[in-house]
Amino acid sequence: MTVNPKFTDLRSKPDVSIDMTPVRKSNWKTGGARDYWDPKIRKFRFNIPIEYLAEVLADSDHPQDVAVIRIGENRLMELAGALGDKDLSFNQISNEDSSKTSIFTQYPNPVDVGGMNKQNIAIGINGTVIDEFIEAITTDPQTEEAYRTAAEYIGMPDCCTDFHVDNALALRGDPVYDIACNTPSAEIHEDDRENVLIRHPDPFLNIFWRYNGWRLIHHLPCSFECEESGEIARRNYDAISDVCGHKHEAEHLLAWLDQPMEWTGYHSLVNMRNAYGIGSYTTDNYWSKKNIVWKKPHQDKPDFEPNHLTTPLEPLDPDRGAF
Amino acid sequence: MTIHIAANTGCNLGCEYCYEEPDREMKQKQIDNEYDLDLIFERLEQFKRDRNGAEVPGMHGGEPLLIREEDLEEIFKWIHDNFDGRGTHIQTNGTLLTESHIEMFDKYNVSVGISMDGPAELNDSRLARAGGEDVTENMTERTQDAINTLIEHPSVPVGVIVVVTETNCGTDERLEKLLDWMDWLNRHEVNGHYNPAIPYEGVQEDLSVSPQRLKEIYLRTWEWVKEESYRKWNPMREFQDNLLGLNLTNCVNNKCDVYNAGAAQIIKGDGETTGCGKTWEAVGDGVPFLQGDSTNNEYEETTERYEMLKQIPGPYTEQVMNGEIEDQGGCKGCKYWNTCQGGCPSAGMNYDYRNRVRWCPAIYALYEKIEEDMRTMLPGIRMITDLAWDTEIADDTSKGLVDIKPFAAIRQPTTKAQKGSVIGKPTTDEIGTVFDEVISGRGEIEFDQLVTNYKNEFPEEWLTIDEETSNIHADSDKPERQASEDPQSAD
Repeated sequence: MTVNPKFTDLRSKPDVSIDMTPVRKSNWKTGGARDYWDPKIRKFRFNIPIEYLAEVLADSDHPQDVAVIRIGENRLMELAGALGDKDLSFNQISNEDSSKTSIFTQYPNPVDVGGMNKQNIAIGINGTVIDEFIEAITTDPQTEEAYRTAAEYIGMPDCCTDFHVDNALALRGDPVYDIACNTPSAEIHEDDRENVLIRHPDPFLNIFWRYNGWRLIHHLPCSFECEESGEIARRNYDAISDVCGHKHEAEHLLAWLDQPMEWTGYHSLVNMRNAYGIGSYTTDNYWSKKNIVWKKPHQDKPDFEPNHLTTPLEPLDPDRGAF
Repeated sequence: MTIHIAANTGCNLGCEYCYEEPDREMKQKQIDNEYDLDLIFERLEQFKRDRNGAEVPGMHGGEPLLIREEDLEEIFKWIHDNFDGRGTHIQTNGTLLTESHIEMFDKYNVSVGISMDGPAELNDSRLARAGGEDVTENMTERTQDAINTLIEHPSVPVGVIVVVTETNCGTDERLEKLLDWMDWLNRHEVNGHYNPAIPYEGVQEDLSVSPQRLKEIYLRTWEWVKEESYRKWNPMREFQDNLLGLNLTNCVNNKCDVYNAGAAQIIKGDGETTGCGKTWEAVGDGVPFLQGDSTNNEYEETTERYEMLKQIPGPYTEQVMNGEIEDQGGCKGCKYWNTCQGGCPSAGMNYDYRNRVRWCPAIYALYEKIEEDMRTMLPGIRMITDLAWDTEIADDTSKGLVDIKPFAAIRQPTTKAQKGSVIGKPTTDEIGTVFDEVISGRGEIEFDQLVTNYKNEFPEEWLTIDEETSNIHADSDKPERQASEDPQSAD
């Protein structure tokens, strides 16, 4: 069953523009949660995405030819080194307002890898591809043709590209409510379609924490059970785990993404919570509060003591969570 | 901005409105005063180092008098020795206060904040954790005794927090009893403030007063304050100061980052850091999540809630007043924006921090009445509201940089009562002339000062300065700050 997101049309009403400085933040709930998770998944905010994106883009069988990352000026040499080894190219997306013309450059979609004085950079298989991609995403106003061109370079499956045409043209960069409603296992309360429960999502497609780099796909899926997106996410997972040698980190990232959690979006700000942490980032102008529950309501806090947080990773269990 | 040591979250009272109760219910064993002094001191050392000793820590809880007296003394001695004897504070329910404590407070220059909700008969929501009605009454008596005892010790300043609920303010009769009690406090040079109980979704909604009732309470209390010159109570006094641009002393007016609440930087018993307990429910799950140093963030890191609220239509937005659109929970167009800034995020309308504070009708009405009275008494007086509503001046007032002459110059000297933990800090000698600059379009200030102001606002390479013609220009084609394009994270 898919849910008709009947409140979507209210996203643009009233006709008042909200201009927000991008913000991202995360707080651990307890010292135990921090000490357990942070060493394992923090690297996804910095160096691991650069490493595995280089592998993914260099893989001619992988559908993704371009990625957009936000990186500080002080880390450009590091980026150049990582891409040079794979004979890849990169170029700055020079239009300072590009983040407002395309959902591919709009926060929180670029892969943010930290640094000072960040800028959006397109990395890709060669200069021509990058130039064509940048031309497509800086077309103002955005056209469907330009959006589809950029989507192909990003490696979006056709089902996802088709689903997000309207969002792309309306510059809704974080349409997760729409995605949730389009997910087959979505459940709603009677007459309350702003509260959506996704009972059996694919953890590989969890994009809620992407502002922290905690994600396995680089496009907006059409649903949290999209099979084609799931295949791409699994290839990316393999690149992180097997090719780049970050098996331990990949396992824990997936376990994190599999945790029951809650996302709410309202007035351009997101609040997220799972058993271990809370977070926030700037989102679309949701004029009424949207609420998404991932798998099931999360625990208020970890149900174990910090000293027990050395529990080995267990097989994923959709009803129980990873731990 | 205050550093609080909350060695324990346990409390011998179980006040029905306490925002720390969900945490206590989940961590019952921590009521048994679990804390590690070494870890607390380690964090105190770090805070002192990182903040250059600018902020003196104080004791909160839970109930801080539950911890062992020798440990309490060790903490106050450390603070006294490390902050040159500058005053510190403790916030307590007073039920466990002894003469020995008072000697300790006197020795280490500790002022005392007592939580009590009025005369004895108005304290029925301030329940004893164990025992029945008799124990609750006994606890209330002990708190009143503590206040009486402290009044007899003038060297230990005391202030009072009154939590506003239906129990003590729900009817006019109860409110008048409360005001009589507050009058008694004021006559003994004890000041205090109201703290409206915040309802959480499905919790204590019956106990919390409605915004309309709070409006009545505030307006009646303002009239009460005016009746006698010795009467002082907050937020009435703070609101006068805020209108005069003297300060924004209260955290609820001062852009609290609900994820990293810098107004209350709390060191927990295990040495971890969190923030004001009201934030725990607002963006967490009712239990203390880590804030500030423990989670690699900065306290008061970002102000996105306020950037947002200023753009969101509210009751004073022209389109809303014209009936073109509905109130969306924001503050756009409100003439008291610079003295309120949306209020406490933990008390957002509809239980959401992304709306303005639920008490907006009370706050607006009180500001409006105070402003009207002040303008009647002093025709021609200048106030913050003389500026356009969206003038960027609140940050300056919060730093004490605004001086709407002549009032900053005649601010009362520090008194015993002002030293209490519930009273804002006095203005400093560093008061500038920001208001004059703004209201005159910055046209009357010295050119050198203007250049300094511009350099503070913009990178120097963006400025074109012509000293011959006294002209200065910042390249408007460029964004104000490169960093503003970046997510404000602590990467």
